[in-house]
Amino acid sequence: MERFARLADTFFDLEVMRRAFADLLTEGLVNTIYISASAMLFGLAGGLVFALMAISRRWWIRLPARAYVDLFRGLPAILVILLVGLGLPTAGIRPFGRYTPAYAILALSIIAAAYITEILRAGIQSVEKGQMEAARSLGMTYLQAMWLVIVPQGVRRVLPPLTNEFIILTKDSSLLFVLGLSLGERELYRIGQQVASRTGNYSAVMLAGLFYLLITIPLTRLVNYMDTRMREGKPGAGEEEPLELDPSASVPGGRR
Amino acid sequence: MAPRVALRGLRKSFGNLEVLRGIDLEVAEGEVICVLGPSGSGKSTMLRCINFLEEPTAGSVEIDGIDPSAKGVNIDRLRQRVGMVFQQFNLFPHKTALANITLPLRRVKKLSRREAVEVAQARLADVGLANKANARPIQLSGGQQQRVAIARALALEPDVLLFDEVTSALDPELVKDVLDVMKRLASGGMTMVVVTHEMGFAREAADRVVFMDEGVIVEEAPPRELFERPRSQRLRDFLDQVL
Amino acid sequence: MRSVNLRLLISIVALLALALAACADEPDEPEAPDEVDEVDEDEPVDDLGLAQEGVIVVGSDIDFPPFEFIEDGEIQGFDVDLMEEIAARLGLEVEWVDTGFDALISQLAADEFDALIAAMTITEERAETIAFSDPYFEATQALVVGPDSDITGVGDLAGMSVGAQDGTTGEAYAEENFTDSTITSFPSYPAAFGALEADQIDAVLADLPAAAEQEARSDLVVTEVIDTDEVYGIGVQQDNEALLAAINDTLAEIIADGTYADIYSTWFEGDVPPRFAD
Repeated sequence: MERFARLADTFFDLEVMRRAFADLLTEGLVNTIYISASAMLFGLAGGLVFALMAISRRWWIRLPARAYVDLFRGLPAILVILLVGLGLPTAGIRPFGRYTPAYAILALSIIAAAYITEILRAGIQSVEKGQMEAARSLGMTYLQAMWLVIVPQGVRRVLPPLTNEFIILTKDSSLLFVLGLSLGERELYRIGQQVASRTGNYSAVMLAGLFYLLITIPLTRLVNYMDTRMREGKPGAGEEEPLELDPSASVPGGRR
Repeated sequence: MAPRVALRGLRKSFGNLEVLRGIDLEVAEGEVICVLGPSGSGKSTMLRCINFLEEPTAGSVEIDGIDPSAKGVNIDRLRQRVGMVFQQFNLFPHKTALANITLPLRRVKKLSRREAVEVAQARLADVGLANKANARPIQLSGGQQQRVAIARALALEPDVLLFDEVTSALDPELVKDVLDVMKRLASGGMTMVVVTHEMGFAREAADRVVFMDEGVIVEEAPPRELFERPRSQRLRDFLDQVL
Repeated sequence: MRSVNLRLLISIVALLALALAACADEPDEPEAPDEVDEVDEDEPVDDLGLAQEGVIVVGSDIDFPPFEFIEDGEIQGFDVDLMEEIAARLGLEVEWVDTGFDALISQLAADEFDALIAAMTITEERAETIAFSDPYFEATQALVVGPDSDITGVGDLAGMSVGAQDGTTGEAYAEENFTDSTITSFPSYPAAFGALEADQIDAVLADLPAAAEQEARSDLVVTEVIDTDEVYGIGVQQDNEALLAAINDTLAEIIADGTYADIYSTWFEGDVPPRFAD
């Protein structure tokens, strides 16, 4: 019983949680969402470019995309974060001056782009060949056909793994603490961890976890909902030719 | 005046498989040509070469006397002169029927939004689907989808329209509507190359019927002559099977 | 962790023994439950409340030179030498457990180890959860800057960004006193010094020994030394008064006979602070 009491004290002390609540809500949650959402946006843009490169018929266009994906999917996130957040400025490359969150976003974007490349590539390649042919036969250029016809369909099919990627990105943003975030820049985990190192009490970290769940659980539900809709082939769920969709194709390339 | 389409010594191989082995064919302005032949005879490949979806291994394809491989020829521009309708419709599933048509009008022909919608509505009316403008492809029957696809190709005012087995994927009761639209186009003076298994259509609408087998044109003649007095054994065998 | 498994094993044996005793329905028979206790009776150090005879399990965050760090595969540093000396005098072997600084207190409280030594400043907040020994070190802070910095002391810090390590005296001191500066906390000193070398921050406020070590091995400079009146203590579990007393007595002994000064001069330059000199 004494162990449980200690567990409750160390991890679930309501008083410690109450004191950390405001910081977690107004600073941590805001920054976590801001950082993850920005990284997702840039990751999508980068991922799209690399995905288009990855399906090129020319090997010298494919090669850099392949290398990029292999490199940044293969490295631990924390290493990339250090490399970008500390390595770049050390090398004198300081596009964002001293604004650490921007380096953090860049690092997470680089990682996200690598995963999103694979997700989008799978999505784009799942679009029937006839769509490209129809678009070309209507006089569209390759890039027009890609942008107006293929990509919109491909992206819809991979919305579940893309959402999944955003969930993982949100959780990965907790690794940014290694860069040192000052007051006002701290994300959820950082705030909780700081309380823990000052007091030896983990309750604030647990409360931070609760805030992560606040972001991730609705998204997880959304992924499941979209998955189900796609499998059942209801219109408006993104997939409009349900009979041709292999259920396993609805989550290609994502990380779990 | 140069023929709308001219194929000269057209050859196409996929790896070791030679699908087209020297095709010569000219299609004149306003001419309707039906292409018959057993599956694997190279009919569709020939059609796709006319639209530059396949690159010839040898020989040439000319549209209005223009060779796309010649210097300074923009293949995307040239392709606008050639419309194509596919067996699987290939409508854009994320767009409404109307938007399927306005998309290339706006992006390729650079029409204003208002002009594009006007043209699209007119072409939908031509194929009898004015009331389906806002339907998504999935909400349409196969026959309706195919008619939207025809309207989409027509909207770009191509010089020649290619049909690749456009009724093969349709339920039998939906075939007639599509064929009726095609017959109307044919009698309206549209230059058409139609790969089909619909002998009735070929008999009724074609100016000339081409019979292909094993990558070459075996016979070509006006429909009455070709169907009633086939000269080669291969065509006789084919007609025996399909009629 | 070996110690945990062993304790788990003992617990299971004890439970089994108790269960057996209960099932046996023979209240007069004392042997079964005693089997476990018998081990304890062999050694007198039993009263130090250690889980394992003759071994004191000590937790630390072993990435903090010169107090505790691993070099050439060996755990070493000032804290390490001091703790080994105390343990030796108590007839104990030290078993080191390496963990994160912020996890130390809760793990000690959760009986993951018997004591902790980690250049940890004695604070009231921490003393709510664990007990601290008498001070064994004066936590003087040092302001570290880059080689070409214009900062000559804490007076120049207005508008500057100052780094510190999470949960350290330096961090607390900086937040309290450098109100015109941006304080950025890092999970470790290496991370903070890394950011300083990358010119992402202007200065780092660190424990003097750590700062001196950094100055010696890089081109960073200690520009001012700040006395914060804070001291380090060895942490023990709150209910283990025997161990606390034993450590305090031994520490006093070590200071009195000059051993402390020897250890101090192994790791630090300059004079031993008066309170720790013999």
